[in-house]
Amino acid sequence: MDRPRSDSADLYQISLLIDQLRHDDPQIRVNATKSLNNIAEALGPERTRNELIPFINESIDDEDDVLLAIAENIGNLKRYVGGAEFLYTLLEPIELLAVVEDGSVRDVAVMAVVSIIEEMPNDHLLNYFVPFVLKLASKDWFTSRISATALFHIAYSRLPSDTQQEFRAMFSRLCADDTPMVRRMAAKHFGSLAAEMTRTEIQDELLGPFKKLAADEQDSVRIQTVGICIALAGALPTELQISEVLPVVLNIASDKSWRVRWSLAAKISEVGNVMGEQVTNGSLCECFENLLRDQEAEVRSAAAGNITKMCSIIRKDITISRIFPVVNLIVTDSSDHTRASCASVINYLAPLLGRDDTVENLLPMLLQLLRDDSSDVRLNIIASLDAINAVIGVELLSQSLLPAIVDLAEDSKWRVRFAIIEHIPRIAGQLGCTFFNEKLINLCMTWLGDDVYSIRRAAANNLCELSSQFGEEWAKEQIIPRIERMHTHTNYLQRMTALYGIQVLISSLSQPTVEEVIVPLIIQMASDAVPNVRLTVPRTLNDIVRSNGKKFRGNFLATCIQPALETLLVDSDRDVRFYTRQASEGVAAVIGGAQ
Amino acid sequence: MFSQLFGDPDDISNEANIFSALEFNGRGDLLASGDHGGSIVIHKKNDDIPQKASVRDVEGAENQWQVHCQFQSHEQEFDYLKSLEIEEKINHIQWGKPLGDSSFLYTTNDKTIKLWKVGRHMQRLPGAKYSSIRDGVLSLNRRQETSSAVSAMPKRSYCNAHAYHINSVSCNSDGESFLSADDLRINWWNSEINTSSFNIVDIKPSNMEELTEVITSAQFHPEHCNILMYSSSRGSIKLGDTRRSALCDVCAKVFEEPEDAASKSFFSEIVASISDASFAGDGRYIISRDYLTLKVWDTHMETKPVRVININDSLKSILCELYESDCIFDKFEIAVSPDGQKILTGSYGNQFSVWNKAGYAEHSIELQSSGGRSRTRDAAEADFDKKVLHCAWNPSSNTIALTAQAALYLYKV
Repeated sequence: MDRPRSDSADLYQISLLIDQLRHDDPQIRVNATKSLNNIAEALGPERTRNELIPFINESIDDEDDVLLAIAENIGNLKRYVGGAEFLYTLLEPIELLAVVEDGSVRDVAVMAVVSIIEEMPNDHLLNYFVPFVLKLASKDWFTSRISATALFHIAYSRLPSDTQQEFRAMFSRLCADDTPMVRRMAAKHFGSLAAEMTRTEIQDELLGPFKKLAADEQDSVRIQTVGICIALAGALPTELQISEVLPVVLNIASDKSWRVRWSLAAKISEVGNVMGEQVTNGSLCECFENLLRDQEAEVRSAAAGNITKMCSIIRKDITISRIFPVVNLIVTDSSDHTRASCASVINYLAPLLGRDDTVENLLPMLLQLLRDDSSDVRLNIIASLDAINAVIGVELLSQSLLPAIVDLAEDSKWRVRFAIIEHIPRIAGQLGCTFFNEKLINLCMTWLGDDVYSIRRAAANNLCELSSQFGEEWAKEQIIPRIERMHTHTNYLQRMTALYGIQVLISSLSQPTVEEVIVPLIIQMASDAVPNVRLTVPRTLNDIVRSNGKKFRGNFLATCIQPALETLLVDSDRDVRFYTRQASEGVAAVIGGAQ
Repeated sequence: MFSQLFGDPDDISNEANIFSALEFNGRGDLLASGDHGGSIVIHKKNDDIPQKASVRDVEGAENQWQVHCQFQSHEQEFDYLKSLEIEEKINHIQWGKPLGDSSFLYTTNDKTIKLWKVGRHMQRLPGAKYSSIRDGVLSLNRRQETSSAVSAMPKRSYCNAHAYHINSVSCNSDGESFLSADDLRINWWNSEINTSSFNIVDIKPSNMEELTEVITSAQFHPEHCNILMYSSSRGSIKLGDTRRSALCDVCAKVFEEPEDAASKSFFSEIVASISDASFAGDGRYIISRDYLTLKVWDTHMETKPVRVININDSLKSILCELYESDCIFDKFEIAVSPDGQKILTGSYGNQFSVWNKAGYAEHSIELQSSGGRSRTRDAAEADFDKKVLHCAWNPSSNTIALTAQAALYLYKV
């Protein structure tokens, strides 16, 4: 940091900033707040503590944007208050920020506390931080109690044991608060506090509040229970897991609110990871099956998304005997989302099962999903084909794969077509060159002529990727002749796409090919009837020359490209002339630079 | 007993002043009113006036309520896609959870819901200098004369979620979410998130030609966070349970009285449309009002209402004229007393009546600026341009508020 200078220009700047902190326009106030540390630096530590911080305290009656800016920048002041022993002075403005009604401001204020507490000396923690937290936790305003719930675990380990006890008692009280929002936030931070406590402490003091929260009347509180279960299970030994945490988990799985069941379905693999093998293979597995059969589609979707993760922690024989029959039901589920969710993860079961089991159990389901009505489902299967390829190779699928790809390629929704184009290079790599040539290459060329611009563009990029995958010879043999044919298409848009296609191909082709084959193709289009096509020629040439100009041999530019540009310079269309002028300048610059 | 009057009851020249929404807050010390011009006026009960020494005007009424804050909530907008004007008329107001001295309210017009914070805010002095430089030393001037005044600050705006006109907003007992209902759909919002909401009821038929009913009002249960009620234009009230499934189209309970075939007429369907429905007291009973009757439903019995109170029988004979003048489509609100035993609703001729749940009329009063009780005229002979559409009952005292065109009356019962 530079030492603060005291010349008048700088002081004037700071004075301006200070006035802007209270300006009429909120945007100016926000910008000025971002320079709080400059002001603090100029004032020096003592004045920062005695004048600037009280000044900030008075600014806290303000709009949300400004409050957010203050909360974000108040932590930075910790370097300017004169050392760790003065960090406590920052707690005052933060206390005011922690009670505002806007949740995002409170969250940022809490994070500022975390960064300040890190450097606060332990005795100050006792004298300033502890009263700060206890005050917030007992205040009238429910927002301050909400902020307090996030603060108990921050410096817990550094406090003496009687203070820790006070904190635990206060936290338990917040878990039973009248206001539902406070209970919800207490539930959310329950796990972080539990992680700091010893086993006996948890057993004696936390299990009671935990069970009450799990049985709370408000749905929004019960939804947080799964998170607590995971944290508690991680901290308790197996017997206690089974006696205390597992019953709660099973209750969640049969809760009357689908949202609460959903919260379990979404995190069930994490629960399995902490609970140990016996539980996972036993009651949790049964739980999972029931969630997969739940009456609410959202719950089934969430569970389906976790199939692979769960199967990786359940024993293989149980997976095949108990989970797979239910997955079979999901594959024919009535809800599109559920099937799509299943399709996105099901391929990754293959490595877990091994070749034989995959062929026997998984393959029929995959084939069915490939023929699904919903395009999302088919897309999801195709997107994750790599996993299958590694285990059984794609040949077994290729019979069904091809119709599925063709269907998606001709889907009426352009975004679906777009998505399948993205996957083509990878599929091509897995299927191999010959298969691709036979079946898919014509498809790729039809895309170049699609109605939708984004598709044509994506198709051209697709060709580029394919030629870098399959090599230049393949490109020369297969792609370039087809593009040449497009040059004479009746629709001018096709001809323009052909030009773009050639341009992107250049990056994957060797220089001689570019000079002998590509550039002449481009120059051919200079005599096209439609001006739009003609003006694309100099633009393309310009791009090529600018990116690859130095690679051209000797006087290629002068002999081949410049003459073509010269004819276009006198074209009848104004835009053509404009772009040609640009291109000529570009070419001249490269020639000049080379010489 | 007449208490206070705001506004001029005979002035119907400016349509913007006609009231369109009325609501007391939870603590009973603030009253918010919205009008056709999109502005909100908040009245506050002044507890500083001791009862005996209160200023009484000639008629003996106490001026306990005063204007606390006034602001423009919605402006007229234009929907470019459909080439339609979006009116700024406030359709509904709901108070949210207060925080300290600040109160929050949701106001909605046809398309947008806004959350406002009403409280004391520091007034900024434009051009005030807070710092000065003297002799190369920078100093902060903190002591500025700042006054604080009561004002309303817009906190959030929830827009573009409804294709049809929003008719109600209702806060959930969990304190952080609310629902908004339009003619065909109900959305569930989290107050912190204004970019997206869940759709929980959708009664739009796939073929709009088959449309038979629209939603007329919706409300969350006052205590259970998962129950919501909505009333329809066909005279049915539906209770939905959000725990059961993501979409509450299939209702947990339907309260509908099957139509009496004998009294069916051309107008019976229009007249059966529920204009307002509300949970009473702790939520055990639902009170609904359609054009001619008040119905008290016990949530435990779906087949028929516990009581049907005929409030406007005399109108039955002139339904034809009322249809011609479009008066038959007037939506009268109801208000329920905090103990759930009394129901307040308005009628034509600037009359309002308070009914007991057992079916007896306790009061039937014509609003008059010079206070006092007056004999009521038969509803059929009343002036149909004067209607008491909006009413509210203070949850913590025995004060009621009613609107008559551009005038706001406060009465004590």
